[in-house]
Amino acid sequence: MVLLTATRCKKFLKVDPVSTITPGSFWRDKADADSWMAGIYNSVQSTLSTNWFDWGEVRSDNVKGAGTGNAQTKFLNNALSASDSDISGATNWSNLYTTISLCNYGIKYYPQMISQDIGGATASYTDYLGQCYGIRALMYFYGLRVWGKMPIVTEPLETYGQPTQFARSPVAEVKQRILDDIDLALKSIGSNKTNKYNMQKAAIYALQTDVYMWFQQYDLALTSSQSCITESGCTWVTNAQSWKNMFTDPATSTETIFNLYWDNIERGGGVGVCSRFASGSNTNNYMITPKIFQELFDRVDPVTLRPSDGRFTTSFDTISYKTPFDYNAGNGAFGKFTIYNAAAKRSDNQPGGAFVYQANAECSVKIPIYRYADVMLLRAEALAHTGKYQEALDIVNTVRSRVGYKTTARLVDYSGDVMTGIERTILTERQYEFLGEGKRWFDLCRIGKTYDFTTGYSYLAGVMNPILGARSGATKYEGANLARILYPINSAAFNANRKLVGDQNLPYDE
Amino acid sequence: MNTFWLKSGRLKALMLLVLLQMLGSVLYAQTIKVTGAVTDKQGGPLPGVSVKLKGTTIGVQTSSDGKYSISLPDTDPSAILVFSYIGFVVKEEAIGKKKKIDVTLVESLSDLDEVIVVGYGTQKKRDVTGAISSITAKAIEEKQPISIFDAIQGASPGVRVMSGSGAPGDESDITIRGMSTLSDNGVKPLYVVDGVPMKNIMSINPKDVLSIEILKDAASSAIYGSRSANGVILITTKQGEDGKPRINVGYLRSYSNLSRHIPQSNRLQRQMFDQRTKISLDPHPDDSTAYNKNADNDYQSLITQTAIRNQYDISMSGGSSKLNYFNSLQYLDEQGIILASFNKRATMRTNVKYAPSKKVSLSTQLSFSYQNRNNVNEGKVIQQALQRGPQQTLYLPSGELIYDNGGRKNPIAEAYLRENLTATYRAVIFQGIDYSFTKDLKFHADASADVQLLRHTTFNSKLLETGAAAASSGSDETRLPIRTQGNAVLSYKKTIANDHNITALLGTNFEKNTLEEINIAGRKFVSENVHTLNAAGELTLSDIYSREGGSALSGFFTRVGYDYKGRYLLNATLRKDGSSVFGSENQWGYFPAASVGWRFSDEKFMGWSKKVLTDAKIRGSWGITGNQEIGDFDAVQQFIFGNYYYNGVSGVRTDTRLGNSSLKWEETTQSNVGLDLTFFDGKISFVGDYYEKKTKDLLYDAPLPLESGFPNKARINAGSLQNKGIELMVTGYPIQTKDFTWQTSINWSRIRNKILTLPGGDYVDDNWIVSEGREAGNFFGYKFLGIYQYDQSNAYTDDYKTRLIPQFQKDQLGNVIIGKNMQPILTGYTYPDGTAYSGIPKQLTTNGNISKGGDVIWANQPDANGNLNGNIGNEDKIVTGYGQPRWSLGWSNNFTYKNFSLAISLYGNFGNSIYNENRRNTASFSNSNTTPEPYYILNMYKYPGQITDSYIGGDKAADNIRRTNDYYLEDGSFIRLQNVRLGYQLPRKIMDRLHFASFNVYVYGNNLLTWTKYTGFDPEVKQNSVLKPGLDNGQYPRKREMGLGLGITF
Repeated sequence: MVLLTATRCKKFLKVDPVSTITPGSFWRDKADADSWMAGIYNSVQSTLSTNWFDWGEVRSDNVKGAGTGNAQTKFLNNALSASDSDISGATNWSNLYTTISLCNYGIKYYPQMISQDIGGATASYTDYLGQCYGIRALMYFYGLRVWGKMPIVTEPLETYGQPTQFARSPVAEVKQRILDDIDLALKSIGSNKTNKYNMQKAAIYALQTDVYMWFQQYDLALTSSQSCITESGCTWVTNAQSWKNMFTDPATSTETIFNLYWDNIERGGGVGVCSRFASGSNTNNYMITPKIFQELFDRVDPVTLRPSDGRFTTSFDTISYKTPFDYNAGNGAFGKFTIYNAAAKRSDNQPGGAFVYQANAECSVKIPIYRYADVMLLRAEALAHTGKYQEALDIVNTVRSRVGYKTTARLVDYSGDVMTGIERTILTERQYEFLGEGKRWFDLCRIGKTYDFTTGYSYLAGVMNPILGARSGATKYEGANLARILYPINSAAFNANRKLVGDQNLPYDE
Repeated sequence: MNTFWLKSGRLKALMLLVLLQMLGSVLYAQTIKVTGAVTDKQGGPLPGVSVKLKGTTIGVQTSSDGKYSISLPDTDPSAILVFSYIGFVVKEEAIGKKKKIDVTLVESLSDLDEVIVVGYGTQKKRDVTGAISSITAKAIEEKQPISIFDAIQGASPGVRVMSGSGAPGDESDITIRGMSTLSDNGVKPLYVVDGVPMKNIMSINPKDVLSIEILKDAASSAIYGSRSANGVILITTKQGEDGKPRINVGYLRSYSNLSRHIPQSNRLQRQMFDQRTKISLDPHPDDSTAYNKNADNDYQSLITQTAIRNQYDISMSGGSSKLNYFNSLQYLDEQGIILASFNKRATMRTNVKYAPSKKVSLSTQLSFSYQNRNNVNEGKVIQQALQRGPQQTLYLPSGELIYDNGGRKNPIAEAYLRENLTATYRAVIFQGIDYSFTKDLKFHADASADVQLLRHTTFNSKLLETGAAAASSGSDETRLPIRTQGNAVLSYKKTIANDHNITALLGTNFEKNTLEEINIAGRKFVSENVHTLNAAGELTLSDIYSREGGSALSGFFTRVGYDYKGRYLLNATLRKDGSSVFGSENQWGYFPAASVGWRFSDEKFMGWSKKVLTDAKIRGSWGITGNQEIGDFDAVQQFIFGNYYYNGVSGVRTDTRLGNSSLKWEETTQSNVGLDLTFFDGKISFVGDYYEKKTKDLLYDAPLPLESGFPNKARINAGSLQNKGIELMVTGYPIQTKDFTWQTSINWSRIRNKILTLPGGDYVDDNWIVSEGREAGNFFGYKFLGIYQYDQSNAYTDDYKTRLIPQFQKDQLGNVIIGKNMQPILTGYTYPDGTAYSGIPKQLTTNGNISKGGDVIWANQPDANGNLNGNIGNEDKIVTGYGQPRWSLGWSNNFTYKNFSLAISLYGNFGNSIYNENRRNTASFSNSNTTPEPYYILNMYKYPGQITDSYIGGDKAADNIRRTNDYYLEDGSFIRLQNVRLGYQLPRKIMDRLHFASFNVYVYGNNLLTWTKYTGFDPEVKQNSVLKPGLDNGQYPRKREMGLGLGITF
């Protein structure tokens, strides 16, 4: 009797979740595998929605403030701080590690699905496993560039009580983790050349090239980039409009390798591109500096004397902003990712203008993570560093001429330190080519002596300090403040991980 | 078989009894008949008064007109009739030769004989050994409460009711004896309405309430086991009384307006602000199209209105000895003081009690309610109105609204065009049965269902959006929470040898909760006029879902009580509870409690004091109570989906919280000592309590490392917390004459909270610190010391301990000379005592930037070694204030003079700080259209040498506006004149002529005056957050209400 009551009670008190899945009933078929992968990429979206820009671009010489928000001031003035809620999106690595955690689950469970060959879909599981390694490598690489030393977590956290506190590992170990993950990814990942929205083999080679370039291992970078060229099957676009299509319709472009898919309806919100500099609903947070506008404006056709660089005319509204002065005064938008509609009018009914700026919530730009020109220009740098100057300049000239700017960089024009001269030419070309794509800050960081906060980063300091010096209240990269090149680790990180305490990036507070 | 025999046996006995009775009445043929009427002091009839022949069981009750007729055996001429009625002094009348005896009963001052409701039963107030506060229907009526929360506020020590907003229909937060846990969901008391546990009592009509009992200590609440850690509030609704139907009709109308305007800049001040870097005003002439500068709006007047509240009540009650009923209907139509906000509520209740025999009684309770309210978006209406420049026009010359003016939204348009409707349909159905096996042994069983249907719909007009692709958006959410539960209780009560009273109780309780939700959302409505989602041109995939959840709870409980002559009292309870929300190994918990009382006033040695001290009792109690307020599935590791699409595939991922299968009960151990004193037959009474609560195994939302992949923490059992408090209450009748009485009641409580242990160590949460050895909810930030007068004023000795005084070139009159470069000429530095300083002074930096004239001087805090560094950073934060009030006061007064009555009540909270985030925000230069308050603009630092406490405008480098600075932390203490009510009752004679049983008219005012130093709308800000209390973002302001009403009883 008592026993009966006890079991009845037990049954009465057993209430299982209805609208969620418990881990025990997952990893059962291919649909599970597909949706886990979608969950990972969704988490990559969360990680990079604004951070591709806040990590990779905002602190560089590309950017000037347009809105008046506190966050903008702090980024532009080099006034980051660990406890500042205005910028915590960029200092908090929680999303990044959530993506890593989801990858860790995939890395643990996809091999089990492979070994059981569930539904005969081993090929898919193997590809997914490779993508997990690839995304994990990409995440750690972002972390490495933003914060330097990173805690390395490779096991999924499945129950409360598992170890969760990890100290930061040295840069060399993080680098090794990334390279190992890349190798593991290459072993399994698929090679679908038309799938631009998932990482495939070409994207892994592009990432590998990027990593080797970050650590200035030029020979290895040359090998990786060659693999990428072969694997991707990319060919150069042929004119300004097809260059623009790379951003408005990446799936059909011949130069795209890996873009992050975004659909505001399925996602329930827009990606951060529009709010940052092409907003249809608000003041743009930032604008590309008038200096760059001027420089591209000056790349004229020798005959017509009109701007000839197609990247300029398809990215800036040159009807509204006839001169750099107009552009500056109007807090000009940057329409690289914005559809160019010759028939449409501007939202404010001002005369002219043909860019249809999307509202922040409807911004569905599929941001490019790796594309052909990126790998090629990195390769050009590696070529320059290995003495193959002409080959390096050839790449630069191809990049230019494909968008209409026919003026070539000639080896004979360089004297003295030819290598550095060519490297600067390539870096400038990269600056123009990747405006607004979250690349420039990292380019500034990886030149010269890196991770040396007393004598390193001369290129970055040389570019940035004059700009910061002219901004009221800004801090230059010098003395103790040179270390501000790294981001602060958000104060919240120290609350729950005691192993981080005392290991904040200087000169920031915990 | 067995039962049948029992039944038939019983039936026989019953029939025998009836026969005997009939026989008896034949035997006593010689009887006399006494008749009469019983009235109160005002001459009103008192129905239901018990009239008994002393020393016998012969007795009757007065009828609805107060009349009685009793047949008595004509035996003893000295026989005495006893008239007794709850709340009145018992009166004895010798019969003698009288055939007609009219008596007037006087209301009792002492409430010792009142019966109060306790968990699963009732008790005489004099015998209570726990800490229980009781609020009567009369006390509620005097307050004219709109909601049940208004009725409880200020009425009992240790019970804090805080409403975070004045929005109509908003639920308030009640906390009893402080916060005994660290999670916000876990601090609510358990509400039990007529035996039905509820999470939400918003839909209860205060006029239906007969009494509210607040069980504060563990001994009285532990019988509710796992949900009793925060105390229990028992609400009992009215039942019909025997007699003719009584019909009550009431009408009330009131007018409310914004209780307090906060300082806001006008157009001139805004111009001064815009021209802060120049010493001139904007010279441009304005024309009618300069929409950004041709108005001067007083937004607080523009977005508020005089809100009208209409309330209609009708109730009918009555019954016979077998059946009685209470029906009530109320309709409330209430406007909010902010444009477009409203609350409409209809409630209906039917309570029926049917006793087919003396053994059996059935009770049925039905209540239905409907509530519909529109909430304005506080951020977009109120906060927008407080930030927006007063010079920005709201209307075009044509009268059309300007929806967006230079990026600033129009708060009037936002109020009207952003619809946010919540409709709640609720039914509570209760069926109970009581069976008396014998006089002593009774059985009770009940089952009830609480079914709610919540519909939450929003619609945002596209007019509010800007840009080329402006689109309307809307959502439609349906929630269906259902709670079913049942109780079965066996109770026994026996008095042995006249002196030994024994009670015992055994019961079980089970409960099941389910929640179903459906949500749809969409955009681009085809028409602005259709707000249902069929009109949406595009559905928002990530917001379309349905989902379910649920939990179950079962419990077994017992209580035993013993007292000897009411002098030595003893009670003990034990409950065993099982809950589905915990890990399967830890579902069951035990909650014991015991209490003792000693009525020392009954002891012989106290005989000398009887004249003064009518009654005195010492109480002591101890018990363990529990808390289980966590998510339904916090113990389970879950994968979630629905919002995680990628490229057309719906993704699955780990839940944002980590499941913890070892979760178990949170235990609160509470000890209480109390003293109840009654002087001069109830003229003065005193209740005092001291308690200590210790909570261990806190259901703590532990932050996980950010590297864990679970950004939303994990629920664990860890840490401990302590609350200590004192509660005092004095009630008295200072003046009592034939026509005039003054009753007053004052209560005071003090509470201190302390985090004893904290797993994982201290951490900072935004403006607050969570720290071992400190209170929960302490503000933590930078200390403001002043403003640097000159750039050169930022000068310190080498150890940063002393700030140096810069010396400048002065003219003959002693004025500092300012050069053409707007800088004084420095001649050197001195120590504060005037001696010269020869070294090179050090300067403080904030965020790596050297502070200049006009920047804030922050207090530089020493490190562990007592050393100061040159930067103001996180290490310079200190505890700057308490978020929770430290003591509270409530004071109520009732005056009656002939047919007039006046009730006045006040209450206050003291010792807490409020972070005025709204003030900080407007002076934060977050964008060019935000306008600071006038004080800031008028005092803003503008030139070297200026002495002021308002930092320089617009310079963000120095981070003068940094969050958590104590410049915006204000004293939150206040005393409020909560309620005044003046009533008049028609004289008896006139009422009799009109056939009214009562006729009342009254005028009243709520929230008439508040004494406080706080500069925001209201010092009563949301306190429900344990770790982050006292933040004022500029929420819906409170109203001042004046009204009049009428109540008639037939």
